[in-house]
Amino acid sequence: MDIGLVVGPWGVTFEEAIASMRATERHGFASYYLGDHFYTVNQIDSLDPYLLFALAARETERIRFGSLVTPVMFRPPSNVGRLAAQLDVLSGGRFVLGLGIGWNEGEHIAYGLDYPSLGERFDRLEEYLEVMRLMWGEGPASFEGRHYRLSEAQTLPKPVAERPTVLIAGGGEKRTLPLVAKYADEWNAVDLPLEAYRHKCELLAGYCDDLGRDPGEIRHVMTTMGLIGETDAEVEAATLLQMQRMPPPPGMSPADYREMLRGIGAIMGTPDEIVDKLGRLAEAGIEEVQFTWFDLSSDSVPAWLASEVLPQVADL
Amino acid sequence: MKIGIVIGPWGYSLEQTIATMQTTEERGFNSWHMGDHFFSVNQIDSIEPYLLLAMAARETERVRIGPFVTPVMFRPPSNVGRLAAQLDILSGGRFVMGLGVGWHPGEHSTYGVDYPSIRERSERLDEYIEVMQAMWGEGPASYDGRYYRLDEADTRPKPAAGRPTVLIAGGGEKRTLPLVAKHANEWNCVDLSHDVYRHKTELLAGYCDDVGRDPSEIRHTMMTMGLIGTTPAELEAEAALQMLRRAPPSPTSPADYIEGLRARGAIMGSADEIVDKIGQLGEWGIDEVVFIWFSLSSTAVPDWLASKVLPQVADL
Repeated sequence: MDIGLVVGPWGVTFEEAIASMRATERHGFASYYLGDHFYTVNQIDSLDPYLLFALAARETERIRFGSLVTPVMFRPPSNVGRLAAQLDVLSGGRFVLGLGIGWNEGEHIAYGLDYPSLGERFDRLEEYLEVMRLMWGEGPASFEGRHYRLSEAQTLPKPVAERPTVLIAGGGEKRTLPLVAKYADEWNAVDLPLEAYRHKCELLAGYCDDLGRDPGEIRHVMTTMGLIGETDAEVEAATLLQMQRMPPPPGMSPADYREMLRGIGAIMGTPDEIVDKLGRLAEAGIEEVQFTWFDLSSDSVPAWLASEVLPQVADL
Repeated sequence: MKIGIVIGPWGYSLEQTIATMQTTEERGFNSWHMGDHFFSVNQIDSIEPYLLLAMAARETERVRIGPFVTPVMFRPPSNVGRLAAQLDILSGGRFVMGLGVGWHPGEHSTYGVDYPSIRERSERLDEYIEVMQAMWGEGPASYDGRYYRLDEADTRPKPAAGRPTVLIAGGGEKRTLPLVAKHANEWNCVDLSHDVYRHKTELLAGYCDDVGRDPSEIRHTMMTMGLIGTTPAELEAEAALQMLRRAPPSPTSPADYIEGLRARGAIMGSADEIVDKIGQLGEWGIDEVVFIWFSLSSTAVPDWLASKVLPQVADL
């Protein structure tokens, strides 16, 4: 099983963010993902991930890196399609373009971006994926959608392979999973309990059948919101950072917050508990798990995972 | 007199394009600008500037860097405002936010990007810059324009006060020059004759009066379409490359194209002729001349300028 890290580039400097990508590679992780938000809750420093991806292509040599995930309303597909193709070339095929419909209405409104209904955002995401696939393929390409258009677009340079790796996150059964079946190379089943994961796998296989696609082509990965660390103090620090970004109901204590996350299936605890959970996920078909790294001021969390967990799951 | 380079990032690989930033810095130029187009005439390889600007911010130390220029319709101001602030921080205050209204309807329609009238594009550019300046200043900022909005947006990290530099390109007398007077730290014009330059300078001074601004705060830069070739054969090769990218209105030979450029006032010829012309521009009031480097597979253009021209104009 591969293990990756997710970094929310919030409240950090460029130097800290660059150090985090280098540490991810140095400690032997498989992948490095960045969140893509103007802000989540508080309007703290928030780095644009595409600048950091350009740097990651230069500063790292081995790890896969990408967005987790880019919301459909932030940038036009003509822009993101080019960025993704060229990041793929720059990194020798290591770029993963994660896309989603967005969930944080507030950041859209604050920056004057439209935030249409859930249904329209899904419609747009589908066209967005179609437009980009055309931009990456043999040109010239034309597309006449309800929201986006191309007219004899050639779009060079092309990505290294057929396309950059496309990742879609979430388990929505009516809209998300059909999009995964149609467009994704990777499906990120964020913190799903095993039973729910198995059920959604069956649905996904059905949607793949409908399209004549082999479900085995789609790599299954899982990001966990689990709060981890070698010491109680580290776990507490990660908890407080996460509570700032995803505030719990008023009055919830850090300990209760951790229990809530554990209850929804987040991967947490001692190395043995974590390894045990990863083993069960691997058996169920998950090929990579990404842990969130909150406190970039030190690399003790990746160092701890690298020494206590990675060696034990490498052969899963 | 400062001398800058603008590269046309078209028709070359990412690696070749990246190499130009180091060459430009090492040879002693003042700035490294990068064109921002999906394509100009032929749909050849076209490198996305914001990825390379991130690398340039990190991997150069002295040159000023920026897009030359970013068309208003390509990306939303919420996106470009953040990129600009963060590139300015990453580069230690060397970023120049070059903006324009766009001039090429074909590249817009090919990628499904709206291309409204020149009047609307100018109105949009006005709002676009106001939105970005609100994002760069003390927050939270609200803005309710006809085209763009902000609602209590507190964009972080902030650039240093008064940063980044805003450059507006174009000499349009009714719409562009008033925007220069209102917003720009730098005005870029292309190959103007002395009479036309003087006329536009007077108009600009008048527009500055209208908004209560000292016209001498605005730095004047001039881009030249002049081609550099150390031999007649090299000059013809440069002409052929530029013709591919700019599509002269009627079929013509490289030799005729060169004569046409010369007649329009492009800075060309022997080192002495070029130094002489740059001296005149310095006397007019131009602070920086920007040469185009098209043949990115060779360093002949920056090498020749650095050895023959830069030393002679440094004290002008």
